[in-house]
Amino acid sequence: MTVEFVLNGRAVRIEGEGERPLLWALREDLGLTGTRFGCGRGLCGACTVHVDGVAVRSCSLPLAGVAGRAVTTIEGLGASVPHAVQRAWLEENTPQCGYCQSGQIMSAAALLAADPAPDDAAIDRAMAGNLCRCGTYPRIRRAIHRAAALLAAEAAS
Amino acid sequence: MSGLDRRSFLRNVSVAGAGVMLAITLGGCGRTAPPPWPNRREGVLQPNAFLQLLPDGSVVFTIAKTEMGQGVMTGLATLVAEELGIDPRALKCEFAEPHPDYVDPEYHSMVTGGSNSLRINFDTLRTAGAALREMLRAAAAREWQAPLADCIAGDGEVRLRDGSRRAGWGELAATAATLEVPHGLPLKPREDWRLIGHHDARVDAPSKVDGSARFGIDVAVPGMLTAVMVRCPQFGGRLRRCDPERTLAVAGVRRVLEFETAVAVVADGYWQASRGAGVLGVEWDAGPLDGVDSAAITAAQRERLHDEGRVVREEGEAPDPQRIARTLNVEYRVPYLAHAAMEPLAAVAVVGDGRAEVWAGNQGPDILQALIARRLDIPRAAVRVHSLPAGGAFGRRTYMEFVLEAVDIAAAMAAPVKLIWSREDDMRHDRYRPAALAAMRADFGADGALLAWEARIVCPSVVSGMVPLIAPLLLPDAIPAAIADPFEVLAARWDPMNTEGASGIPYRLPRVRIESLLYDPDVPVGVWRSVGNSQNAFFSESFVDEVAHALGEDPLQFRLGRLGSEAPERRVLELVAEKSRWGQAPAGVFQGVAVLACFQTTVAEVVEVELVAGVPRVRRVVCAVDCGTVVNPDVVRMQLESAVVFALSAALYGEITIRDGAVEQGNFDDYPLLGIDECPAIESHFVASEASPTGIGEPGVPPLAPALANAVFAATGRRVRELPIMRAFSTGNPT
Repeated sequence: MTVEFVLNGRAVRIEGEGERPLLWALREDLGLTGTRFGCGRGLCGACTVHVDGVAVRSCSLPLAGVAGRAVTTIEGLGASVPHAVQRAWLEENTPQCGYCQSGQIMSAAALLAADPAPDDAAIDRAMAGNLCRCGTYPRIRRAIHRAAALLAAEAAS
Repeated sequence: MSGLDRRSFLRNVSVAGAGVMLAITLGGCGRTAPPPWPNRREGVLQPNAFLQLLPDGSVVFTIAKTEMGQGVMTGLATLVAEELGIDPRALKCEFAEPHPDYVDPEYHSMVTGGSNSLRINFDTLRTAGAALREMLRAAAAREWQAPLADCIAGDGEVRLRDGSRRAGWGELAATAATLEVPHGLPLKPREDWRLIGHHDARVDAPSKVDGSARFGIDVAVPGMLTAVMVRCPQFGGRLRRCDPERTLAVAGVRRVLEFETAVAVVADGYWQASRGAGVLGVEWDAGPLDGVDSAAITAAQRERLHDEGRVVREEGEAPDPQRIARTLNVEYRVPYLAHAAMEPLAAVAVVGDGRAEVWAGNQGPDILQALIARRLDIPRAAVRVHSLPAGGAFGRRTYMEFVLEAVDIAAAMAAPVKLIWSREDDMRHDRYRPAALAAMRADFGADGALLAWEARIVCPSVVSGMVPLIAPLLLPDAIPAAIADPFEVLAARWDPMNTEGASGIPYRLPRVRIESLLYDPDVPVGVWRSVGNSQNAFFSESFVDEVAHALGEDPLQFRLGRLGSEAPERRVLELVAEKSRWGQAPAGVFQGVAVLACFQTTVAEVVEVELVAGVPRVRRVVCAVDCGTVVNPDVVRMQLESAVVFALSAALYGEITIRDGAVEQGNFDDYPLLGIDECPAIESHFVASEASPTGIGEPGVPPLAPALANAVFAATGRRVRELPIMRAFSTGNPT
């Protein structure tokens, strides 16, 4: 089948089986390797992308499920200018091995879009499914608070 | 300025490592010149193996260690950049392909491990940076006919002191290239350091927040196919029969390849290969572990205590049995643990025409090169190994069988192949942190005095597993690597890792006896962040707490009272006590402490727990570290945070169990990792030091589990002697 959707602001068309997970179409057909494979079962969050602005696990989302929808990957998040989350991530010196970080950042950006000033409990709820083996959690928490402040300052100016 | 060629330069900087010195000396005798530096670009100024000045004035820095999250790129780049006087982020960092000049003088290979990267490179890389800087200054002095002392290098240019002239490094490169490489250069004195001790920003961070970082699993080459493996679940089992019919009927599947212990499914992509693997008809011959489970392994470990092992340390006279009024004799136990790095193992291989080329995150590119050369019976020079940043490793990528699998499949397919391990492969076919058991014993006199301390530790050897890695590298290709097999037995017999973390107990005790008892049930084991220290510190530092309580002493005071005034453990304990406000925790908060010196670094940790519905929850961990000179303060803090989270996952939940010779766990649902919602506050404090930097990737791991168990005891009165801790607190599992 043919699946058409909007990827990082541009229309794309993928030929192939509709049940194939979005993750592999992104990585293998479109060369967007910033979205990572970690567990294949939606248990780790490394493959998180936005579908119509909502954070989803692309390893468990059939390609057919994004037909006609808007998908944003890490490559599209800060394509023109780095997203506030990405700037905050750098300011907090967050990544270590970096493998889970695309997924962390996508989850954090979706959280802030829905809740511009999340408290720690809200961060826990939104981010608990994004595992990091290097233990960057304390910095992720700080970076989300910092990104919220950056976004608030941008909105105010 | 006297000039030396690059071999002499290395002789000058290689202060340790007899093997490397020997190799260099032989090379210097002119028998065989070393091959050209593999990362070398044409037409550049390259004063040494590590640095290249490009015509545009930028500097390529070749890194001979694996970046696997520990921040080694940043640390090593900081050393070079300090002498060059530039921002470390301006260096073009790339990973070294195998070459003798990149060999670690302690490991005689390019292995990354043992937390030694900063320590062994501290002088080497500063010297390398100083050499390039001095050549550029000398070039400017020559071009400007100016005194050398007036030519000042930094920020990508050389300028005359009076500001009248300046030139970019690229402009000076041609003249500099005609100069001899200097040696014997003085390094910047500590008081002039602008980066070491100050620079925090990781050089690899930008690519890791915009998604552009490329790991081994991300590599693609034209015409590449993707493979997955269906593996015999039982360790040591073999393929009996394979029926590929249904697999081959899956769209996108190209071929099914049978190997001795696994079947490869090669397809157009990962999902197609995975689907094909899911319907493969396959039967296995059970291996030697048929019917073996974790309970049987524990029973056999206990049985082993009846034997006499190797006495690793014995000090003081055994107390007269008449004097012993009381004995504390307890068993401690830890399970197998998986590395579970976030990037599943993956490698790309291209094989053909007597050559091989591979791409993978790996912890030993020259070992990998030698293994591939032997596998294909081709010269090492015909094998190119491209190392990529690893999406975590923690020791796992020291074992590079996954790359050899990719090589085998690519050779059979006569096409480029990417092999991707599933998460389940990674969990079930790891080289695990060994399951180990310790019999801890303390004898007390009638007056209550501590008379004797004994640790008897049952564990398989991890060091013996290094022999099949290092022998193929160190032996000439014409000599079969199997000739080194007897060394596996010897290495096991003298393996210091079996008792490390317990054998060095630093307290003044009237009698210490540490015994190693090998027991290997043939479950594959390997190096896991901090290796033997990870379990032995749990045994030893938990038992210290038990003994302190038995004596009615405060666990911190017990330790301090038995440490010498100059002991590194004393300094970190005093610091952690101050920073954690030891003994002054708020109501409902309970503290535990532990300390360990390993990898030449000493770390003390205080863990604070509170009880939530009777279950301990970690609220804060305070770390104090003495790791010599702190090169990148925030990277050191990151490594302590990382070690705490890694060790906390293991201490609370980590457990790989064996059933019928196979691993029971498969993914993050049954091998849970700590999430952000359970992550405590983590503080790090440094002991001020002017000593050379020592390890930081691993030493934060070992003190966590005992400090946590000690805090749990303080909170509940329950002594946890078996990990993971949550087993003792989960419903229906009372201990």
